[in-house]
Amino acid sequence: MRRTVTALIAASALVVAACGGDDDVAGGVASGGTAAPTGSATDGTATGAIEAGSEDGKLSAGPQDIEPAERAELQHGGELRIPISSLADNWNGNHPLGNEVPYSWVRSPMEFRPFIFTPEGEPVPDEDFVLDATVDEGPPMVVTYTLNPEAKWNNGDPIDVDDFQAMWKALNGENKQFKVNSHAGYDQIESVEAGANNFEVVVTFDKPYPDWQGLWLGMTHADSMATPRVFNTGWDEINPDWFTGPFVFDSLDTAQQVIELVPNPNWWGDEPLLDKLIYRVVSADARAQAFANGELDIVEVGPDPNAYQTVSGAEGADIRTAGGPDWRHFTMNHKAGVMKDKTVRQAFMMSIDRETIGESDLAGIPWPVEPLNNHVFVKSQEGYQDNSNGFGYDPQGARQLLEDDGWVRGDDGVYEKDGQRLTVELTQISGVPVSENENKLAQAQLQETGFDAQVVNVSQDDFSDALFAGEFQVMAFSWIGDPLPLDDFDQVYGTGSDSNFAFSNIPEVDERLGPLATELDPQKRIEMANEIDTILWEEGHTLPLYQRPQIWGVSEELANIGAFGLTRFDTAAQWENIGRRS
Amino acid sequence: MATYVLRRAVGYLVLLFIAVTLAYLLAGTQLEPRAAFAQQLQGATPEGREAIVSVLRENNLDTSENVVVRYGRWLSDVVTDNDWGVSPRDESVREQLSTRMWVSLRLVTIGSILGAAGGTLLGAWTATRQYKRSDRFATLSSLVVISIPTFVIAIILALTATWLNSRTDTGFWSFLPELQFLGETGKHPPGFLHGFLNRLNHLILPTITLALTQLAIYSRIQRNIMLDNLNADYVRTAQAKGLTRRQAVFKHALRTSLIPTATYFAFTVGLLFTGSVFVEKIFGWHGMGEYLVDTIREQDIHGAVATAAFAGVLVVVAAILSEVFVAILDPRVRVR
Repeated sequence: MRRTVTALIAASALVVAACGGDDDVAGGVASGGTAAPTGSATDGTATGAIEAGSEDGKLSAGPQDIEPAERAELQHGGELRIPISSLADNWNGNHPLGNEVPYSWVRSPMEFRPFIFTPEGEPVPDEDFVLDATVDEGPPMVVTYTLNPEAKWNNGDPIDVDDFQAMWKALNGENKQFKVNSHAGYDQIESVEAGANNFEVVVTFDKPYPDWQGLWLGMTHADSMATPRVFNTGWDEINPDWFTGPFVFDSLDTAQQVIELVPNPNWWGDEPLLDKLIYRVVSADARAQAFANGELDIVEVGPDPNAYQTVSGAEGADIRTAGGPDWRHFTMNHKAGVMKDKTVRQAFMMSIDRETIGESDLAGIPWPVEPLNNHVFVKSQEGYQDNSNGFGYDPQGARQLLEDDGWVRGDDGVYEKDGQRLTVELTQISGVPVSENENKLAQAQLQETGFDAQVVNVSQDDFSDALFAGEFQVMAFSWIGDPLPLDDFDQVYGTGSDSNFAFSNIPEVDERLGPLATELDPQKRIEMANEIDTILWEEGHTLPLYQRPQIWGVSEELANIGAFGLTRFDTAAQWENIGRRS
Repeated sequence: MATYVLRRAVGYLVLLFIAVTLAYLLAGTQLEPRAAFAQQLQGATPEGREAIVSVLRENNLDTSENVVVRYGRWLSDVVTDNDWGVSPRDESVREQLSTRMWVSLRLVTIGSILGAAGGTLLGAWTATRQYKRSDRFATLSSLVVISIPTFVIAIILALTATWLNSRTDTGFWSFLPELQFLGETGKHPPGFLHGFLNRLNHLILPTITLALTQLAIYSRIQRNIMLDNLNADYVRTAQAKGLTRRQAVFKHALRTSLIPTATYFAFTVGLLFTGSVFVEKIFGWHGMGEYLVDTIREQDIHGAVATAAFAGVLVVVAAILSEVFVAILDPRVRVR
């Protein structure tokens, strides 16, 4: 998961809702509905382009739902108790060991960030840190940041060009001793220099980098990245001196596994409303009940109907939902068995009833499941359009396609061609309910068409090995938590790329990926991406199933927190403004 | 006697060493630390993936190396530095152990003492009242408790607590403190007494869970052994010598029938540390039970081996303890 957020820029405009406060959703466009002021889980008000809550009793699949409120409406004081799955032993978010969502929850209120993303996905400079950022398209492309001179690290040092340089040098990949998650973006920077003074940072790129707004998120003090040694192994504890932000590290209890943050006395921005943020390690299974018992203030429900029941029925609970950046899909291996054949891949896609699969995966949760018809954008994102071009569910069409290609249906209902049976292997990850469910349903649907569908098991431990080695024909999994559809797009779809688990070789896609990576005009980029997407549907690379929901239970009086949708909490949460209604 | 114990101790140590070695070989070949990063690897950049692999290699967790080589390196660290290695996520196993064993101790002490003592008494008492209504009631309820899995009991208790809490604001239940079931203490007002009471509050539900199951099992065991002894000749003899029935039962029958229970107690105490998995998971305690499950789930070779070693040590301690118990209760052993 990259920590960059930029492609969200592309995610802009369309989405309206969550900004409107308590009143209704302005205008008929877009929708989202967000939660009703009453906090009722059934929000019938949503209408419009995203269609989410339009069906009665369904949750809203809008862009964001955090119950926004002005500071004046909220009271000072109180605590926010957040469950996390584990404590880090390496708190460096740019190191692979520290790159986990629960750790970002802890770091986020103490982090530097250049931009805040509005619910619409628009990046706005976070003026506590960056007063202004201007881009000169060049060539060469140059971005000039004007930093807030008041901004300081907790040890009193100013946040200035030195920190930018240190981060660039650590992450650009030149010194292999730094173990980093991703060089993306930083490896395209040619220089980082001071402008008129140390608070003006001039960043020069060696080629246009459209996702530049995602850089420098979570930057820490230059000392924290000065040497590979410090970067790799100096982070076993949270060193408050390296951080900044509205909250500051207060205590860690290793026996209870609880971390507490308190308002930062040196913070120069608006004073935080809450007295304390408490992060407690609680196993996923125990969270819903603990929330219902009033021992947690916020809990992510996930695709678990029991948890949904418990949380939505709890006293004083508000369910907040949004469409997330994750989506389920079947990846089709272009190098395995009958899936080598493009016609078979197309027939495969047309045999799968994605709506039924999605509804079954999320049974017990009133989520408006709809098939996802785009490989690039999810439904609640600007740029989303249906590119499936007839490759959606159509078993009759699938049979026609096969028969036109010379496949003949045998007595047992299975197609054959040149002595080869239409046998496809679906690899399910055993012990993962959604995977088992999806494969079981797909098997029945494929047999309906005339496939001989077999389900084979892979253990959770061997899953990633099988994936990398291409030892599968079709496998279902999620693309997780990357709200940036374009920044690493080539990784998944380019020939020979690292995460191209379909092992595809599509020249028409390859030749379009290069220009896409350097196009600075957001609208143009969206068009280019959709053009690629149309080819991906035609070729049958990955069959997107549905966009996964973000469902959060939040104590109802809490405002400015909940389901952040595509923008994610670390680019959208304003921790100093989270508080309780009076 | 001393040489006998010493010889036993050396034997136990050799056994322990073999057990730990086998545990390492098993964990080292069956667990795959890279899988702990499956999700990250899948979307990772090449540099990110390389970084993960190199960190694992530095931490002696690269499974492409021969397991015996890895074992040798690990063993020498354990022997020379008492360094038990790190998890795939670079967490010190020794630190985890040293924190978690005390957490477990706090969690299981009261519950197991209540359960064992209460169960023994209940069993002894019901044995003297065989087939009476109270005996039948105790038998039935302990069978019910035994047949309900621990995690169901724990969840029922948690649900009940939530229900009770929703009623404590007003009405009949308002005298009760808000029952909490996460961890030992989240927040509490300052002061020793408050802290102590708060801890107790957090202990209530897990303790009931642990005590209930223990109580049910002990009462069954104790009742059966006791029944055998109640009708034994020596009890009748004692009564014939002029002791009352009550004296004969307490001084002779109960004492004799405590011996097998004590042995059982010693061994269960050892296993309780790693056996309270569900209680820890459901009530948010971070002790040895959770560690046992988590290390395996998270492909943590060193953690899993350390847990096995820890459990092994406990079994050894329990075995010695049970011999001591028996010595105290059984005069024949003392004389020997």
